[in-house]
Amino acid sequence: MEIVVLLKQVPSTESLVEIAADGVSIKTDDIKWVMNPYDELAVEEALKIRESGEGQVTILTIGPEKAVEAMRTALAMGADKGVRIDPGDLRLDGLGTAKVLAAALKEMPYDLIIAGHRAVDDDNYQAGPAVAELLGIPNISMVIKQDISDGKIQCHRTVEGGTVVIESPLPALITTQRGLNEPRYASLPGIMKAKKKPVDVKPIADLGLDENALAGKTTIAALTPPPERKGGRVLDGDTAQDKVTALVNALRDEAKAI
Amino acid sequence: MPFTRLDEKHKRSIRKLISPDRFSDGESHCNLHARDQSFHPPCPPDAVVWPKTAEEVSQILAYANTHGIPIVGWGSGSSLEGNPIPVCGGVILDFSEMNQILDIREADFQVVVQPGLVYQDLNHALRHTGLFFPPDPGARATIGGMIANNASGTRTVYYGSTKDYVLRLKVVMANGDIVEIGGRSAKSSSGYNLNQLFIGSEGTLGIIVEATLRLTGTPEDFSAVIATFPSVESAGKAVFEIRRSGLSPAALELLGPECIELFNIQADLGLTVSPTLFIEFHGASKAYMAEMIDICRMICEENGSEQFEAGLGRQERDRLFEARHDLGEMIVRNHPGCAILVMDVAVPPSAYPEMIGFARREIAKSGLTGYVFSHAGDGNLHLNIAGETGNTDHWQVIDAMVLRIVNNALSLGGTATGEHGVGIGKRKFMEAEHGRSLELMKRIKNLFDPKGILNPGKIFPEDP
Repeated sequence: MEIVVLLKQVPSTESLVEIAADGVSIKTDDIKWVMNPYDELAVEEALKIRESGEGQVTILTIGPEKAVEAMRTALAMGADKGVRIDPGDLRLDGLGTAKVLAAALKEMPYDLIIAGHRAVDDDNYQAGPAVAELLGIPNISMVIKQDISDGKIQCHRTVEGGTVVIESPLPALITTQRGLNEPRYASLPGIMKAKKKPVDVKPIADLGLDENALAGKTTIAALTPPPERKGGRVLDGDTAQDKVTALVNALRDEAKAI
Repeated sequence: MPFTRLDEKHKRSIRKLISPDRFSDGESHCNLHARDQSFHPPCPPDAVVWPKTAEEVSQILAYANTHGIPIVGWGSGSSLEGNPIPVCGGVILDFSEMNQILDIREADFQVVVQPGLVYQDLNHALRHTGLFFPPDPGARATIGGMIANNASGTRTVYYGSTKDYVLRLKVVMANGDIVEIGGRSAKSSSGYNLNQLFIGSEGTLGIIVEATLRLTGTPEDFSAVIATFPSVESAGKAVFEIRRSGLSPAALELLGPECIELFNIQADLGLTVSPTLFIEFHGASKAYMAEMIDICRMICEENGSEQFEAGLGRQERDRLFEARHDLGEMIVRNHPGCAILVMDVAVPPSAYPEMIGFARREIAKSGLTGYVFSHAGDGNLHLNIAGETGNTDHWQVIDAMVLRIVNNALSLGGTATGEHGVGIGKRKFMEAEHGRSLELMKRIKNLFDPKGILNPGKIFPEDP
């Protein structure tokens, strides 16, 4: 079984995010970069599938040279090799990312592609399903359990109030949701071995894509931080009754919640 | 020694020492800090404070020391012997807002943390470094609480307990002095080892505000086994033989059939209801572990093992560990209207089969429901006994039984508490266990905390 994991390096959710001077990007100087948490689930699931049979796990990412750090983490967890597409100065939106990934995948063997259902930096939810569409293979999103047999994959995904079980022939692309697994921790020998594992680097130009067609169909017009939270207020009143009256008034007249 | 209750004047003064939103004397906050996970009756503090810096802790302690106000540190309240219950009132220092990782020194295998950090959160943050902090007491224990209690867990048989992982501590003394003890080198022969004095001191000598911990490499691979036995005694014998054969399992847990039954009901594990050993090996190669498992299988079979299931998957292993960590809570849920007394004796390896037989016979004689489970590899035996709340007959029987079991453990060269600490419930065994060295402990306490404001009513048998 050839499994490809689509991986993205993202700012750690614990990093302090500040808007850069251009107003449409974030300051990256002090940011700690990590593997997208949903991609960790994808790596773990790929390793589990490989351990139950034969095959190999390849990590595919688009990113600058530092993106290789997140890839090395996946290799330290146990993945076999990596492919990094260097985007150069090109700025890719969700669809552009999917086009690049699909072009790279067309040159690789795969029976199953696993991706996080979204990246926690831009929250686009697009790359996985768009890649499947461009490759003409089935896509099952937000998977919390999977089972492969006889060339088919059966997946569970949650929907409001229940679970849907979906089956599809392979090759297919699935995206991960929390609950799918508990990603393993890297070991020191694993980290050492990862340094020697092969990572191919390809400039985007080598994929034979028309760079004009990749240019974003969407552009970021502006970024704004969420509004600052205001402090709470203690309601006046001597008795519980007075306070409840004040609360009801505040909910009705000020918050317009009731 | 009479302590000062917090009147309005004291509350105003303490509130001024930190920002007012991190002080509360509200009933619900106080009640949330009135009990731990033990059966000991709750007792609320006069106020709760959430410090953010060592300096704040220092100022509060200096004030409390001047005015004779009890101070008790609080991690996550997951202790099992009433250790942080403020039995003399006073102020609780809740460290949930001092929960940062200050520095990860990967190359030194060290990490500097604040005391309110939960150990699982530390290991999650370390997951890509190849390093981890091994002690695993379960619940969501904080590093500060683990140090104060010398916590251990299922992996202690291989990795050691918290005491083996503390290199350096920053401690606020009773009078407010901030002291750093220990160092960052791997070894030292310089002077008294004060770290070890604070580890397991249950907050009675000083308040830990920062710790440098040793880390170790995450195991590259593991291999897990479930083995069932016809009796708890035969399983206990197998434990002893496994230890004596020189195998070093990373976990060696014994579970009575009553515990397995509870796992099946509450965690849907579908295990055979028999006395069971859960054994795990950690290592770098499958071949090494296969050899260990072969020897282990031979020993288990020699001791009458009926099923020996090796090669458990990770998910299955994790579910079993999780159930093991939840066992205490499962027992509580299984006995509504009851309080659960938790015993924690530990004995030398050769005495372990005898100890477990003794405990089983005591439970049978009592006619009450008891659960036997054990960090067997450490000779550490847990016995949880359910007694109806308010049923004095039950509790007379339980008290007498506890006394006999602890005395038996002591006569075998053991201890009343392997990992839960003395807290409230085990003070009465201190004299029997320590003899004249208890007097030395009292003098040390007196030296560090002459006014006795730090977690009064714990460890020492005298009132309060």
